[in-house]
Amino acid sequence: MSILANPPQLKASKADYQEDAKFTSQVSLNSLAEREELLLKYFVSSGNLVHELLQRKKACYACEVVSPRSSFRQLYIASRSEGASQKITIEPGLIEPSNTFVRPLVLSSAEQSFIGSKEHGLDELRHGLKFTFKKGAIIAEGPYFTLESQVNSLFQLKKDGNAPNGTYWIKHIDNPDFVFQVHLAKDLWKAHKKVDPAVDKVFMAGILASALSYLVRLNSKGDEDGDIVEQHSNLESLFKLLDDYEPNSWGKLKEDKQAAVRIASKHDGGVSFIPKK
Amino acid sequence: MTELIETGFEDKQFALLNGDKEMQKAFIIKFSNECQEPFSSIFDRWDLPDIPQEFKPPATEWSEGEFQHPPWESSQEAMNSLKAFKPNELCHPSTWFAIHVRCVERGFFKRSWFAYGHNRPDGQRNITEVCQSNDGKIIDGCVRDILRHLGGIVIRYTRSVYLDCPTAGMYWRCHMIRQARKHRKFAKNTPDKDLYKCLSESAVWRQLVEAATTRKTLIGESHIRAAFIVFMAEKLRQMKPDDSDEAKATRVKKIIDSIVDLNLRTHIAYYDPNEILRLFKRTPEIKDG
Repeated sequence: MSILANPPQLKASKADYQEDAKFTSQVSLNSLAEREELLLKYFVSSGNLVHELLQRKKACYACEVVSPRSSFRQLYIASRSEGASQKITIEPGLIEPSNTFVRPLVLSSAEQSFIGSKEHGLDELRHGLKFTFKKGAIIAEGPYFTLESQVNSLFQLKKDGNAPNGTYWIKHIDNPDFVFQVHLAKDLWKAHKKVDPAVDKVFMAGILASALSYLVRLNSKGDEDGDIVEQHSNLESLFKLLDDYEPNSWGKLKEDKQAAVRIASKHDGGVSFIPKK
Repeated sequence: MTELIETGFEDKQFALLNGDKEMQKAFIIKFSNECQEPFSSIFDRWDLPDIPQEFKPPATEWSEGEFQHPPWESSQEAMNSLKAFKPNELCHPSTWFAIHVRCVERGFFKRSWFAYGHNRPDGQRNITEVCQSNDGKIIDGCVRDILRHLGGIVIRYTRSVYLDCPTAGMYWRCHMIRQARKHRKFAKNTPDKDLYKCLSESAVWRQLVEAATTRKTLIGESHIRAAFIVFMAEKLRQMKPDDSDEAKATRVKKIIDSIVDLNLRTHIAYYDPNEILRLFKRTPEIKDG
C-alpha cells in the first residue's frame, strides 16, 4: 500500500528529494512557412530515480506548448526513438510565438511502484516507503520558458530600439499589465557587452528576471505568507548585492509597488525599473 | 469637442473611451444605417491590418439576431469564408475590426448591428436613443458595446475577442469543435451541433475561455478540452433549465477547478480524450459538480 499519496518529484531548480539532481532543457525554434518546428534537448543528472526510470524506458520526456492568447495547449510526448532529443511540429497558425511558453516534463510511462532507498537519492525519512507512479505521473518538471526569449524565464526581453543603448522592455509573460522599461547603467552595459554571446541570455536573465521575479510577487496577490526572501533562498544573495549598491532600494519598492526604482551599480547609474504608464 | 488625433488601434480606442460625450456621440452616429460616410473611413488612422483579398463574406446576408447569436447552421458558411485566416490572426481585436469592415461593405452585416446592448437587441434604435440622451454613462456604454462587438477592447486583450465579439466567439467555438474532432473515434455519437450549443451556453463559454486564456490554461489542452466539451454537453442536459446563469457558472467553474486538481501529479493529457472522459465520469468532484 502506498503510504504517501504524492510520490517525490524532481524539479529543475529545487529537487524534492535529492540536492544535486537536476532536470534542464534547451529549445530551438524553426519558423517555417508551413509549420512551427521546435527542437528540444533534455538533460537529467544521473544517480536518481528519474534517470533510472528513463534508462529502463519506464519514463519518457515530454513537453507542453502553451499559447494562451490563441487558447492553445498541447502535450507532446517524445517517442522512444527520440529519447532526449524531441522534435515537435505544430500546425501552422495555432500558436502566437510571442506569447508561447514551453514546459518540459518527464512522465511515467507505466504504472509502477518502488520502495524508497538510498540508491534513489531519497532522504532517510523516505527509505522503506512504497511509492506508486500512475501512467502519466509527472516525475520531473523543468521551468517554463518562452519561445520568444528562450532564456528559461517567465519574462520576455526586447531591446528598445528607440532608446539609448542598454534600454530594454521587459514583460511578464502571464501578466500583460506588468511591463517595465529597463535601463542598464553604462558600466553594467559595458560588462554585458563583454559577456560571451553564448551566455548572454543567461547574464540578462540573471540580472533582470531574478529581480523581476521579486517585483511580480510583490505585485501579485500571492499565495504565500511570510518574507519572500526566507522562502526563496536564491533571491537572498541578489538582495544583499543590491543593498550594497543602493541602500533600502527594495524597502522603497515595498512601500510603493508602482514606484520607479533605480538600483545603482558600483560606479554610476544602475538598473532603472520604470513601470509602463 | 475633442478631436481624435491619435493614430494606431490601441490609441484610438483609448482616446475614444476617454473622450467627452460629444466625441463619443459623433462616433456612435456613424454606425447609424442612415450615415452616408463609407464605413471604412470611420477607421481611418486606426492602423487596421490588411486582410487577405480572398476573404469574402458569405453571399447571403445575416439577420441582426443571427449576428448577435450565430446559430450553428449559419456558422458553417461563415467558417468557410474565414479559412482565409490562420487562428492566431483571429485572436487579435484589430483583425476582427478589419473583417467587420469588409462584412459591412459587402452587405453581409448592417453597420447599426454593432450597437446592440444588453436586453436592447435593436442596434439602430439604440443609436437613435443614445444620440438623443445627455447621460454620459449611456453614451459611454454604447461606445463600449460597439467596440466590443467589432472585435473587442484592447485593454482586456486576451478575453475580449472571445467573450465580447459575437462573430469571433462563433469562430472560436467552431475552431475548438474542429480541433476536438481531430481525435479519432472520439464522441462519434455527439453531433457537432450539440457541442456548439453547449459552447454557446454563456456559463460554459465564459468559464472555459477565462480559464483557458489566463491562469488555468490546462483546460485548453487539446485532449482535455475535447473531453471537457463533450462532458459538458452531456452535463448541461442534466442541469435544470431554470437554473440561473450564475448558478450554472459556479458549477462549471467548480468542474474546471476539479479537472485542474486532477492534473497536479499526473498529466491526464497523457491519455486519449475517450479515457479522459471516462475519468471525468468516475471522479466524484467532476461527475457531481
